[in-house]
Amino acid sequence: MGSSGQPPLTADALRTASSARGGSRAFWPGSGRRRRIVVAGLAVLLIAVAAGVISLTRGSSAPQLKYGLIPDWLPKPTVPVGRIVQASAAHRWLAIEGDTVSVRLARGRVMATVVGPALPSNIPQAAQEDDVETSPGTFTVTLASASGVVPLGAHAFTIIENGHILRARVSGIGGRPLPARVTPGGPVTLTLKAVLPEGDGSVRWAPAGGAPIVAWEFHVELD
Amino acid sequence: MKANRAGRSARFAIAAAAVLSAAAIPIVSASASPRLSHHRGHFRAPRRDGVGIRPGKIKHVWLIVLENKAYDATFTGLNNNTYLWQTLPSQGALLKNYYGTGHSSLDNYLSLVSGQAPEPDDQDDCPAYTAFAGSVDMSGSLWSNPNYGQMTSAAGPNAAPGANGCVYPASVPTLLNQLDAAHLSWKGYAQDLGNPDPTGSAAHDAGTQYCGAPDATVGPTGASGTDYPNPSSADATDQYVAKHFPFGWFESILQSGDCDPAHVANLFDPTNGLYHDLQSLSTTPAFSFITPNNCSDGHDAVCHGNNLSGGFADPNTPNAPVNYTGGLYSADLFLEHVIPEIEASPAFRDGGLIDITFDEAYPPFTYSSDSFANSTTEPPNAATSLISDSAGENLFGHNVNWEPTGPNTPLAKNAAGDELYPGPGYNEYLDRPSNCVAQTVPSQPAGTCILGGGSLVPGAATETASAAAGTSTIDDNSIVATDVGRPAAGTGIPAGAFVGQVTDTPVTATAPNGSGPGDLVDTGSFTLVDGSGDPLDTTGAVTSVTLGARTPATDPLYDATDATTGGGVTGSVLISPYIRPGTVSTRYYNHYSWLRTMEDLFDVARYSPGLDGQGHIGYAAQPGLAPFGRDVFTNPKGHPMNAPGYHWHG
Repeated sequence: MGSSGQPPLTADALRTASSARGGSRAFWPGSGRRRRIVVAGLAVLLIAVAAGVISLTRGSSAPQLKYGLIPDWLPKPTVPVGRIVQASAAHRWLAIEGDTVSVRLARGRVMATVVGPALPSNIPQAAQEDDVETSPGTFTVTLASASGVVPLGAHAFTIIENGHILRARVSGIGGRPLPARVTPGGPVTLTLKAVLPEGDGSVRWAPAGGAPIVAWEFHVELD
Repeated sequence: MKANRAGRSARFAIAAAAVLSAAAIPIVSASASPRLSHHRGHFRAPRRDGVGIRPGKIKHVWLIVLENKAYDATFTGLNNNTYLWQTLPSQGALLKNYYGTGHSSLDNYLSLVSGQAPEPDDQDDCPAYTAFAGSVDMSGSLWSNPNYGQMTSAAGPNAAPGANGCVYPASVPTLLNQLDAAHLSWKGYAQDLGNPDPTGSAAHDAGTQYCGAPDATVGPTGASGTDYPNPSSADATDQYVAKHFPFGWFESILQSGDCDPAHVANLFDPTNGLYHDLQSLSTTPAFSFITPNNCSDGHDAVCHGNNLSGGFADPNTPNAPVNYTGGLYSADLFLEHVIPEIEASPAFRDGGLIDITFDEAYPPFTYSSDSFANSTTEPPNAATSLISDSAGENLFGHNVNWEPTGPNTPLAKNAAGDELYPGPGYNEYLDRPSNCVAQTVPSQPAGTCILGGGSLVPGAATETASAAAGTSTIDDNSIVATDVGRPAAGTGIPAGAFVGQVTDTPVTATAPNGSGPGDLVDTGSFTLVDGSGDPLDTTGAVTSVTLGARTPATDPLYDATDATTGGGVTGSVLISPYIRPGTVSTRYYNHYSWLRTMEDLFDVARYSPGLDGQGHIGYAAQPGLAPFGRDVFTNPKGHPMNAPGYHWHG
């Protein structure tokens, strides 16, 4: 190990070679009179070349490459960007589980996220209904960055799957009772537990009662 | 000899004419790229070593380095990263077998720009900013000496972290020095570089004038981290970390005079940042190294500061965030902002190449909270974790699961077949025997150690948990996929219970990292089971659970015999007019291949011959190493600069 034989390739050496010679060894061989003669000749050549370039540039229709134009050959993004969407009573929103929705209420605002359902690994045959397999499932609801008044009630959440309204047990994490409203700023996490059949459904939230402002679609597969 | 000299003179004359005429172009044509114009076909074609496009066609490269994800976590949609997973590969080439060269972070960044192999201090992310003592091994040749051109630690092979030092001496060149020599412009952009730190926090960088280094001076080899701090974690106002920005770790750069705003800048600086520089060809560097902050690069699962989720007030000013989720979610937010900015630039249309890559792989499980969900295809065990410590490259046309270890992290086994050293992979995701230090059975030299960045076989631990009486489901946000099978005990938990199926559910982080409730990106729970795997019900309310210690026999991450040879498979995406959208390559590449590709694309051999006379330094000069070939550059004719486009409104 260690240095021996030829000298190491160093950055200093690179830089020194470059600055002293203006280029690589391949470009600047020899020395002295031959080099001066060649350089003098090249100076003349340079003027001619530069003049030609000027002429070509002025006479051509070179593309004006300006900022702000994305090439057409690039496929346009097909997936939505900017994942935070807005929802209100006047502008209800259908989301997919996992989406965060900024929900505007009459006297407040909150970021709402529903994730799930989480299913147990060994799905028990907990119930049979019209020969449809079912499983207990858990949704996690996170309400964050709240401002103003954001009421919170178990009755505000409903789960609809395959056209049926399912009973959901709504509680805080660890089975704690729900607060009456979301504390400004701090997040509130709650769970919705229900027995879910295989199929498609949605978790709906109507914080002010009446029609839901936002619904999160989900899908259950039990095989 | 005479004829040879005449030929050299002729070549010299032509070359010099081209250089001089190229130098004239900026005077007369504002649309030209002055520092690249000497590539425009005046010379004989340079030597080709398999790079898939003629040198000179690619005139601008933007490299964006993200953090710590295995291919299975990156390009499978596991982590809510649709833009990286689907959109970007549809625009360019997906390299499915792109490998990091080591663990942990810093050694990968240094390998990228220098071709130097990992060494223990860099693998440890250099908690002390100190000089790397040693010499460059130039004995023999590339063909006779596997360590030819590699920095060899004065502390010897496999020395403990802290004994080697971190900052490479001036005798170690980098790609940036090669670009300087070739009169090509380059710039390092780092998000949050120079940002103020909260009162009382250690500064993350010493300033632009120090190339993003954590300290203004390089400490002596072996100095403590207290004297030479290198905060490797983000804070609320400054999420830049020096271990993800390579420039300050080479004296060849520190001493070059390049540590100035023209070469190193805050990514969002209005007058020196990326968006500013993209506005015209003349302000866009030939090579741009882009380091997102510790949130935007996907490193932090929960961000300490802004994750860009609130959008931007203008191209350089993020709004306040609406959540703090990190990982590939925040990486997507970053890419969705930056990539269209680059694609809308004249430099991209004029021979641009965007490269989004990762420093190193990371297993696709939640047990380290870096992935939001558990892979459904890779079970959480030692065998699948080893994939994230594997190596790969293409030599002489063959894909090989191998890379040179270098002189400082060689591998070796004892008589029992156990690995004695961490190697380039640093044993990052495995549990090794805990008695390896000063190992006596079998007898090993003092200091022999096969432990690396990975954890020891975990001991007993008590975690906060919750469950009502009479249920088999325990809520435990600390539970991870590799805890399955550990004994579980505590109030409300019956005797003979074990951790069964673990479920991790992604949630949105609603609070900054370390701030308490809300600073998590997944909630966890597990099923309580008996020794037969059947569910057990709790006997009372549960508020905590004590997980029993593992043994090598029951630890799914225990592995004593398999070598950890590299940085694992991460995947990489490249976008260019010279790449057909939707290209997929399965050829093996790694950071050394990337460096070789850059050296070829920019034809640096004209000015710096490198170790092989073809412009390659470090392990980029491995004989037979494949640069990115025609499998990547699948549209060699390119798209015309003035092809139709559509307006982008950032």
